[in-house]
Order: sequence, then structure tokens, then C-alpha cells
Amino acid sequence: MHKYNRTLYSLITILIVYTVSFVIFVFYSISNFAFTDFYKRLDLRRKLAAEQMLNEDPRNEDFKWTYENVENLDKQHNFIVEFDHTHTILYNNGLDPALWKEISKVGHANFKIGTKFYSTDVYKNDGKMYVVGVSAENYFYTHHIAYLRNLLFISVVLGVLFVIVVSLLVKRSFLRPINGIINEVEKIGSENLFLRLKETEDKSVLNKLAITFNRMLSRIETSFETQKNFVSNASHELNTPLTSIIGTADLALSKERTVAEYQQSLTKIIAAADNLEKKTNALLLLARTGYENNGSNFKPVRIDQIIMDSDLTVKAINERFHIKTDFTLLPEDSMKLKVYGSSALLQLAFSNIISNACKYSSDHTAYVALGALDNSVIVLIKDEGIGIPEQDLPYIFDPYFRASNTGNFSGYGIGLPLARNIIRMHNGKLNVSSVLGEGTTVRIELPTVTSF
Amino acid sequence: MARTKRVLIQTDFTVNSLNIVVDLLDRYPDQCFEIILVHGLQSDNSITELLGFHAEDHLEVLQTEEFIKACQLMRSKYGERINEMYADIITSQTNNYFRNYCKGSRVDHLVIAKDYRFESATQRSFDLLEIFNKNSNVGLSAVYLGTRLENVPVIDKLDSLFFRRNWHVTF
Repeated sequence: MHKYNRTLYSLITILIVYTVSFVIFVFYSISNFAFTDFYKRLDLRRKLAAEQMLNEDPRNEDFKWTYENVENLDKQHNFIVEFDHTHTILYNNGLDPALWKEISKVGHANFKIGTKFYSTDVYKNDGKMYVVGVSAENYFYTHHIAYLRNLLFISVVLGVLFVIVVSLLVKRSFLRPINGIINEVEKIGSENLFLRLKETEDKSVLNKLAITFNRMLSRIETSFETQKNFVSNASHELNTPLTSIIGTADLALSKERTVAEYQQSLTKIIAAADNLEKKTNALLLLARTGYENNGSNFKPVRIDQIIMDSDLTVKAINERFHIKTDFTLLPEDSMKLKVYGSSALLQLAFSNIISNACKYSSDHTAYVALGALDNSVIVLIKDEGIGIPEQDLPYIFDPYFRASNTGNFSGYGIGLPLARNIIRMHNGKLNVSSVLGEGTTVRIELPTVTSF
Repeated sequence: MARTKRVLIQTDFTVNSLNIVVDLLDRYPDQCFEIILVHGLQSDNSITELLGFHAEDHLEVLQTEEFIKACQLMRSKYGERINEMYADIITSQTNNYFRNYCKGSRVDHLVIAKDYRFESATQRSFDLLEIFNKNSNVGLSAVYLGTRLENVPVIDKLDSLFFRRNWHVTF
């Protein structure tokens, strides 16, 4: 921000320096022009006067300067002085003797005393030397240049003000959206990672920034949720075999038993421990995505493969769950099943949805179907379970939300938001439609590789 | 592979009505098809309608997103076996019109679902079954297919294409 301000202020300074020097240049050129132009006009009048003087004798009583030849200048005054070699005035007509010193006695001279401009020259006639001159006031210089100076001064002041005001306004309008983003980002913490920045349709840099932020938030949220999901699943699924191990061991130790009975108990414990190991492995397989894959290195993956893997994982986590897969509408061309994505993340999403479908139906059965559209793959996951009440449907993607009819089922409300985030990261769509008491269908559409 | 057959199938633009396409392609696995999905839509006899009638305008409204997706599903599934598949509108119930339409489109067969219940997509839609039956004796051969509809609760409309056969459970 500091650097930004410095750039802005140096820009303002450059603009002001430019304006001021421009104004000075204009003023200088105009006054310079006024001088040269006026001297030219004086010269012309001096020449006319000299002609008159040389034609008529200025010493004649009747001699009078004629001023009618050209337009008279302001307070125009002609004069003639005859002088000798010692520069002594022999005859003076119209010159203030105090000025005699100033006048060149050898040739042409232009000068200015006070507001009066002078143009003089030396003429020789019949062996006599004369100085003929014209003096006048420059009306333009005395009146107009002052006006011009005031005008330029005011315009410089106004211009500087304008530059400053406009730059501050521009600065503010530039900074406002950035400040907006800053404020929005400030609000996001680990407890409300589901918040997103506002995105607009335009292609501005700031909008791109917001989109990038949102993508990053999605990745972070997914990563967080993956871990929460692991904890939540672990706390539910690992309990059953553990209870069974503890129960069996307790029972076996409660009194003296035969070797066969001990063997039987130990076999049961081993079976339960095996089950526990299987579950832990499956859960870890799902959870590892949060650590190693952040969605930045997507590869083409086959959706049918992912669904089969998810089925296996779900079955490993809970052996009571059944999954029926309908691959009858699989396309002939396997390219139509390839999706850019992370197989680990997609597997996590599908396992969550499938295990939800199994969990919330009395027969613990989920029906999964797969088909290809022109530019996308469609996956349907259906159950004949308890369904979702209509008034709860808008909230099912909110973290920690659980529908009002899920009281008898354990869960934390993490799976579906996580699945939705993963599908979103893959530019896909996830729709849930449900009829209370009849079942739920989750429809997932993912763009295929060919559509990129 | 046998010559491509051009068939006419009635549709009401529901995903359900497309099941017969799946049945047809499964019944004749060595046959390529060009499928015209026709819908009967009575034209009103106004001048504007007569002059400015375009099947595309009506089809755009009638074909739902689900219907188009279901068609895409089938095209991806059967690949080259469906050479062509498009929807069209038949605007009159008269025999001559229908026969000319079939001649013009070089239709080989009419495919009729035995237990298919027509649902009017619009108020002006009409069932083509009668005219199909009438013309099955005259030149055009009709193929009657019994669809194996199971009574599955349909929540998502695309469901009706899946989840209806005996389950092909993969593992």
C-alpha cells in the first residue's frame, strides 16, 4: 500500500511539474512574441518617420510629424535629434534629453524603458547625422499580458487541484474493490471455511483474484473436511469391532475356561481385529487425499474404475453395506468415461455418497448407475431409504447440517459438503432429489476429457 | 452387419418413452438403426401457423434437458449402432399425410411398444398408436416390443433409463 501511494504521489508531482512548465513556456513564448512583434511595428513607423524627415526639413516651422500613414500605436511619439561627432545634440525635436545617453549613436537599436518601447536608428544626410526614433507603449504588453498571466495562474491552480482530486478519486475507486476483498478474506477462518468471496461475470484482474482465492479456499476446505471426515468415520466405524474385541476378551476372562473355549474366543478376537485393520486401511486410504493431493495435479482418470474402487472401500468400511451397480448403459468408447481429476479425491466423494445411501436405507443397499453424455459422465446413486424432508433440501450442503429425520443415524454432516466440494473442484454438478420415505437420488455430472 | 434400418418410434418426450429404443437395440444386437422419434402435434389451422411452421421451434420447447441427456446416453452407449437419431413432429392424423411422411423419410419399420401408455406432452399432442396400427398392414412392417417396465419409484427422471432391468451386479 505504501509503495502504491508513493507511485501515486510521484505521478501527481510529474503531472503538476509538467503543467507548470507548460504554462511557463506558454507565457514566455507569448511575451517574447509580443516584444518582437511590437519592435517590428516600431521599426516600420521609425522608417516612415525617417522618410518624412528626410523629405521635409524638420527645422522648418511648419514641420509636423504625420502619424496618419499607418495605424497609430498607443502613445506613439516620433522624435529626431541631430548631433555631431562628439555626440552633442545640435537639434532636438521631441526627445527627452535625459534619454540621450541611452540611445545608440552608431546604428539601429531597440530598447525598453519602463513601459515605453523605443526604436531608433542613425541616418546620415548631407554630412549631418540624425537619430530618428519612435517610442510607444505596448498596449498588449501592459494590459493583455497581465490578463494572460492571471489566466494562466488560475488555470494552473485549478489544474493542480483537478489532478489531485481526480487522482485521489481514482485511487479510492481502485482501492475499494481491493479493500472489499481484504474485508471478505478477513472474515474467513477455520470455523467458516465454507464462506467464499463474491465473484462477478467480468474478466477483470480482481475478479480473477477472487476466483483464485475461492479455488484455494475450496482446496483448503476439502483438505480440512477430509480430515474431519476421517475422524468422524473412524469414531463410528472403529467402535464396533473394538467393542466386540473387548466384549469377547472380557467374557473369556470372566472365569476359568477350557482350551477350546479360549481358542474360540481368540479366533473371534482375531476376526474382529482383521475387520478393524481392514476398516482402518480403507479409512486411511480415503484420508490420505487431504495430505497429498490438493487438486493441483489432475490427471485423466476413468470414472468406472473409481466407482468400483469406491464400492470396495465402502464395503471394507462396513460389511453390511450392499452396492448394486448398473453398468448397462456404459458407452462403447472408453474415452467418454475419462475425466480430468484426482482419483483419490473422486473416490472419497463417491464413497461418501454411496455409504450415505447405504446408511440411510433399511436394506443398506445403494444402487449405482453410470452413463456417458456427449461431453460429460453421469453417475446416479440411488437408495430406497428414509429420504430427505423437502424443507431440509436447501441446507443439505451446509457443513454440520443434518436433516431432521436423521436422529436415529449417527453422523456429523460432513460427508455431503465434502463430496460437493470435490465435485465442484472438478467443474462438475451434484444434484440431490429426494422423496421423503421413498428414497434419494444423487446425480453427479463430471465433464469428460474430450470436452476440454 | 445387416443394412441400416430406418425406424419410426413414437415419443412423448419423457425419458420413459425412450426405454423402447434400448429394448429395440438390445433385441437386434447385430442391426444398425436410424431412429426417428416422432411426436404427434396437431397444428392449429391459423394462417401464421401454416406459413411459419417450423418443427425446430416446437422441438426446442418440447425436448427437455433430461430427454436430450437421455438421448446422449444412448448414443454414447450404442455408438455406431445408432447412425442417426432425431426427433420430429407429425402434424396431422390423416393416413395420407402419414404415408407420405414415411415415404419421404424412407422409413423401413414402425416400432411400437406393447404396453406403452401415451402421455400428452402438450394440449395439442395426439397419440400416434392408432395410425401406426392402421399402417402396419399397408407396406410398413411394425415391430411390437414388450417393454419390461419394473415398478421402480422414479425420483430423478433419468432414473427410468437405469435401475429397471434385472440387476447387472458387477461384483
